[in-house]
Amino acid sequence: MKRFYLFLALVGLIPLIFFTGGAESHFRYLYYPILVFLIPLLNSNVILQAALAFSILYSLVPFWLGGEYHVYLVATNVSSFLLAAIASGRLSDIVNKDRESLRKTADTYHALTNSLNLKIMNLQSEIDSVSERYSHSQELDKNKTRFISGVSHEIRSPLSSIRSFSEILLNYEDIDADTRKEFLEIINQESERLTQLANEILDIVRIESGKIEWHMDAIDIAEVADTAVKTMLLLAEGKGISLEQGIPEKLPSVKGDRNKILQVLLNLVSNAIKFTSQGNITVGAEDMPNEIKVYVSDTGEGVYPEEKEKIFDEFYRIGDDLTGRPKGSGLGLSISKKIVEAHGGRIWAESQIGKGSTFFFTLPKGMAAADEYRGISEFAEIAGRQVLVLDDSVPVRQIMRSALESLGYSTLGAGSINTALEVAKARKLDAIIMGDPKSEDEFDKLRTFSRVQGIPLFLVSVVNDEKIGLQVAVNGYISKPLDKNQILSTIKEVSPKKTGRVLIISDDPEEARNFQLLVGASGFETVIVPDVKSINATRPPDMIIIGSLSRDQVYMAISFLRSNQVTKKVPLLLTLNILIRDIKCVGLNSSEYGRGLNKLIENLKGRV
Amino acid sequence: MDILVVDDEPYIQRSLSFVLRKEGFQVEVASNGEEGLKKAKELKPKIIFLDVMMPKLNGFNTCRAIKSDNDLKDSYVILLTAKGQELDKERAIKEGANEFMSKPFSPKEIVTKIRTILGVPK
Repeated sequence: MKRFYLFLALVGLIPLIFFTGGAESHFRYLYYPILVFLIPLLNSNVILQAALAFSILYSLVPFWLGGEYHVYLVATNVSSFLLAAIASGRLSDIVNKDRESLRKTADTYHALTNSLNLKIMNLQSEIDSVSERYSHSQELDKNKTRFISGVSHEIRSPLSSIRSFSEILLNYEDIDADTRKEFLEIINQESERLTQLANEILDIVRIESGKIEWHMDAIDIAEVADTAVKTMLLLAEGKGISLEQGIPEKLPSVKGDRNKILQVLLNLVSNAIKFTSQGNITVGAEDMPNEIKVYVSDTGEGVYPEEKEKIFDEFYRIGDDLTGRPKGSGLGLSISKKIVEAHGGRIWAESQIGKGSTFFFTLPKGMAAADEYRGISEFAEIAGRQVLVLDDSVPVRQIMRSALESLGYSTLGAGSINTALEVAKARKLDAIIMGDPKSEDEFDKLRTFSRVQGIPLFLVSVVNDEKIGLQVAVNGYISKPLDKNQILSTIKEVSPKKTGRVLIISDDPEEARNFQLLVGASGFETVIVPDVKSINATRPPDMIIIGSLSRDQVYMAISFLRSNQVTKKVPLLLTLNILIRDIKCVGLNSSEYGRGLNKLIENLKGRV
Repeated sequence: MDILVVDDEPYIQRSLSFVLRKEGFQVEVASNGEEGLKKAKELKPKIIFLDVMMPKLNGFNTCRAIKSDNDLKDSYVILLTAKGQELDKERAIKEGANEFMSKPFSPKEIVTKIRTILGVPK
């Protein structure tokens, strides 16, 4: 458009010149400078030729008009035009160069902005992670302090009894045999209480730190309940309470650690006996659609509604209001809760004061043994794939990890989103599986990360609605209770991603990382090598990015890549501080440089 | 009446009362703050052992009630606790307790202490 107007302006000069007396007029001197300044702007061969023709015709005008014909006039006109043309070429060169350098500056600026944005993003997430880690560690510290103070309180009571009675026995020799026996029994009983306490503390610590070993097997609830009832029968009968079983026949087996489930049942039954003075206790189970519900009901004192949740807290003890309260560490239910939750189940109490309580827990069905459906080929495909499991509950994490590991995945665990991000940055992950997110923000953060890095993210949720799951999750959705079959098919579907592979050659880790983030954001797999010699390609990557190496290294890299059979035809992307003209000589074609990374990625997407 | 032991732990009651009776003192026991306060009003003991963590009325509140009762305020109150925390000591002083002891303690120590308080020579 601009050219068109300029052309009009140029043509418009003709009548002006005729009007003012043609070439003989002094105005003709105006024409040349205008020509000299306008032509460079036109920068078009056609217009240049038109201007040349016009210039010759113009110098002939006086001849036609009957005036004097001057050879020198023609010569002057033509030569000034040629001067103008030469000057215009120069100017156009200058303008083009300006444009080129402007574009380069713009590109550099763009790249800088990108890398700056990335840095800000990194910094922000760093700050978030530090502050979250700080508050998390504070929370942990608080919990730890609470736990330790609870432990020390619980230890002091039996210890104080042991100390007092043993001292009494040592100091007074005139104690009668019965009293002596009574005191010795107290000492014995209290040391047993200490031992039990020590075991329970160890249990809690082990479960919390994930150091407990779960022996997952198909378990028969009827058998476990029977064992629990038989173990507790004497204790119940001693109090005149009847202990009954109400397990339906043909209850399907569930996957779990038999001894741990027995521990839960023993704890519930012994609690029931403790708080029941007359009547009966029933250990039963119900077959539900997705889970088995086990219960222990009693006709005891009952639990106050406000205590129903608290009783599962560490060191919370019911019976503090009673004189001669039942002895216990206050850890039993808390351990039971951890065990049940580790199995993907829930535990809760229903109760009426004065009428009795029923404690329920569920064990999810469907955790079939992995071998039932896993073929050898699938195993080979999975082997070595690394999956990160993110959940704030250690037992839940443990269960998920062991489920995945039994499928052949290698797993990593993270208790918080920030640990997860750190792990993900440090290790190569094939997938992230997360439990129900605690907050929308948290989930968003991980989702963004997963997209940027191209790591598939799966959500494990108790919400048994696949639609909802798929709406929020990025790549897949696995419902609870965990079904290994589902895990396998969901992950497999997404994991072997068919995206392009980008090779990044850079000895600057930060630059390489920025490229990786940019390219990874588009879902490409990236490989970083410090120099061209480290390239060990057997199949060609879809693009090679050459970072800001020294000029010599860039030449070397390009000639290496272009002479190598594998990388010969792979498009190259160069960082912008290398002069384009220099590179032409090593056989790079124009489509391979100068464009924005984004365009190249688009291009790459089309290719893959 | 010499000593009242108020503690919900039966074994603490048992050991303390056994030792103190053995040493020739008159001893009564109570299992919670409410019962302890009632017995204290009734028996007017010279020394009262109060456990801090007790149901119904805890040791601090019982101590305050004792110290604000004209008949009882001269009783020597020893607070017992399973926690050896500074905060508890401050609170014990604030509530007017005469002494503070943390569990586990040795019966021998207690006997010596009581002898000093009551001015009974060995």
